[in-house]
Amino acid sequence: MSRTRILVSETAITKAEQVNFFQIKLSKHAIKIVGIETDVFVQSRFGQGVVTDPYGNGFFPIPPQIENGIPLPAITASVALPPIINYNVAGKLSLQSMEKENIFFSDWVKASVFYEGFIRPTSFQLHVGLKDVRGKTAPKKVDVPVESTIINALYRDNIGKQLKQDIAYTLKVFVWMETTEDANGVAFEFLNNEKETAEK
Amino acid sequence: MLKYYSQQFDVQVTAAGQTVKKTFEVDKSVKTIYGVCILSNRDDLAYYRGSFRLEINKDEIYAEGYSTKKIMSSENVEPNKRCYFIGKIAIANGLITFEYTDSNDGRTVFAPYTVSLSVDGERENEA
Repeated sequence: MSRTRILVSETAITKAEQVNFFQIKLSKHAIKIVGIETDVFVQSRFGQGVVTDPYGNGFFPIPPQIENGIPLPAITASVALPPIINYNVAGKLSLQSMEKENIFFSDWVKASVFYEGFIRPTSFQLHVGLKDVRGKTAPKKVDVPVESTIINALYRDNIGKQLKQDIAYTLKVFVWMETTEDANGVAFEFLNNEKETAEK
Repeated sequence: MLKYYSQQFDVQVTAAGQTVKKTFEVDKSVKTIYGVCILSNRDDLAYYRGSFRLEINKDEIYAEGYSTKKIMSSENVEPNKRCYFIGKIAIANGLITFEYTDSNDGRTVFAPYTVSLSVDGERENEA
């Protein structure tokens, strides 16, 4: 059985709507690409200027509304808060093989959120109750034989475009490739079928 | 007969942007390693800021720069399935090298934290 190895490719994005065309050089021992994963490390203050905490003081406490010196009845968050914008799609990545497979991977790259889908992760209540939504990740399976050691990558920024500001981040592409080396026991989980994995 | 083995190896991250490399030696009774996962006392920092490289028996299992978040599981994953299966790797010299790198991320504020590499495997039953 062949050994699967991971290649890490990094590219820097600094401008809104930036389009990056780059190449990923595979190992000379690579015979097949078996999986693709992506990740984003954000250097900018993520979501700066975005209304996620309109009062800047934590868990959406709404300042007392006073009219003519008389406090008004409490306003619920649903009517008091401006619309919440919480984008996490960083951009779109396409990978192209030099061989007949051509574009074999095209997907939105997400700037993963630790508390996926929740807006105020610092709140204790959310921390205790809702931190468990992530589950377990796995690379996206592909099956692309490798003849040349180069694959082309095209990345188009989305988050900067949506937020109308330059967001600096590092895009990481993890290419899982089968090589000519012997496995020596190494067999990653996502390569096994679900039954085998469950038995472990 | 072999029995289940699990151990955690800790590294301390004390400064932003720090790379910590440690080599751990597992007990001689340990015969195979088949699962790994990363835990932390600050899950959020390890999740957003961490990348790592892992070697077992001087064979690179995860390449440098691989994101920590990719081998972290949350609590809604059954405890026995939280580690990521990497195949049954025979422990020859008993050495596990873990290199953890902290990188600044705009979604977090750095504070010192501990990252644990948790390994599952099999050991000889001494009884």
